[in-house]
Amino acid sequence: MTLLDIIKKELAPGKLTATVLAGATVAVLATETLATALYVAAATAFMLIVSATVASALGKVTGEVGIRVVHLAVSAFTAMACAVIYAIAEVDAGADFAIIMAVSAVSGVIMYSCPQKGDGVLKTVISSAITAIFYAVLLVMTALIREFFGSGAYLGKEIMPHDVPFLLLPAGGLITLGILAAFINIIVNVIEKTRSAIVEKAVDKGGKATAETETEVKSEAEAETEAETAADVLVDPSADAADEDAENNADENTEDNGDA
Amino acid sequence: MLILIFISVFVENAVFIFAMGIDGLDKLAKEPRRALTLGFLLAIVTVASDAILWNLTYVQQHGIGYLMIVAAPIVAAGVSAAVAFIMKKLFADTYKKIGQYMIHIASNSAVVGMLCRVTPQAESLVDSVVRAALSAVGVVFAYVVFASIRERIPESKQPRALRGAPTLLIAAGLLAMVFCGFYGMRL
Repeated sequence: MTLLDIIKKELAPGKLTATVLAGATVAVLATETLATALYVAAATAFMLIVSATVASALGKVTGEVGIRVVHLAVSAFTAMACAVIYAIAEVDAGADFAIIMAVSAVSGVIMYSCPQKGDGVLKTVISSAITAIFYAVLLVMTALIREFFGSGAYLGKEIMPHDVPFLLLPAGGLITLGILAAFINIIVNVIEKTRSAIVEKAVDKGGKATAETETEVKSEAEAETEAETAADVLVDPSADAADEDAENNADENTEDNGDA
Repeated sequence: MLILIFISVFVENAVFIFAMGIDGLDKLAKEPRRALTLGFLLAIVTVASDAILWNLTYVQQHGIGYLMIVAAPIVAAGVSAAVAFIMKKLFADTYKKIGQYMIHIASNSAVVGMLCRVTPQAESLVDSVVRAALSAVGVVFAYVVFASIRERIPESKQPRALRGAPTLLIAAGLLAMVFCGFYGMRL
């Protein structure tokens, strides 16, 4: 698997919004101020990369269940290490920072990044680093919106006469995250449409191309169209239910594997 | 007792007021019946973990505060594994249906968050266990209510951009707004 494949896999449309949902608890708790969000983003990135790397490195010795145990234990210890380091450095990361760190240790972003048995260390490091960067950007964006509009301040300095205190409540955090997730969906849809337009143009110019190339491009265009049609059909409630069932089955399969 | 339950369910709800366990809304709150069963298991894990951790809190008073960050997730995961093992032996049919969700209970941020928030404040073991049980009741209520709403989401037409995670997050946010109305209420 090349570097480009790993990046594509990590930044796949479904995975990005799944990461938003998996990390929602920490994202709501840690984004009341930009400073806390930055500290938590750095700590989470550290926890994510270290725990995944150690679990992956010990994967050959420990087995499938052992990987999960090691992953959880290392993430908990790194969370404590981060809290202790910030305390020693006298960083003011908020009153509930220890609780946020404890919750981060079991947050979905870290737990779902647990490597499978046989995953290489380098692949694990790259994929967890990509997840960490995306999650850090998400935390900072959410904190910027919540602090700027919620308290009318930027890094503690008051810059706006009016504020919307609702945004500083968990409800405001959840709605902000939901809107950001919707924006991610919109961006992904635009990219997909642009890609399919490029493929269609290539098909139009297909007369000049060789027969072999034409077939390849056409099949790609057909796949795109099928995907679009499938996505449109999802608006239909029955299709939505079918999708939900499929998702359930997929979840159950994944969890079965995990249990095994 | 009713007042205490009211406070833990509405006024100090762990999910919608303290924002703990929101990631559990995705996996544990899919349909109300299942949410209730899983919530019951979550409550058992929380209470048992709390009883174990209270002893550590006693140690914590002597200057090892950050131990809680490591202890809470590991104890919760261990208790969850023990509950799964017992369930597999005694209630094999139930385990087949919901055993796969035990991993989401073990790594549920509501459990860890409640343990970190409730246990250090308790004055005795009984006090700690009662507080943890009441907080767990609040989490179960939140999951069941959210599952009831979530059941109806597929029936409605949604804009393409809002399908999936955005809808769930916004629905949770609106529900949290409802619970905000109770916050600060004194009984």
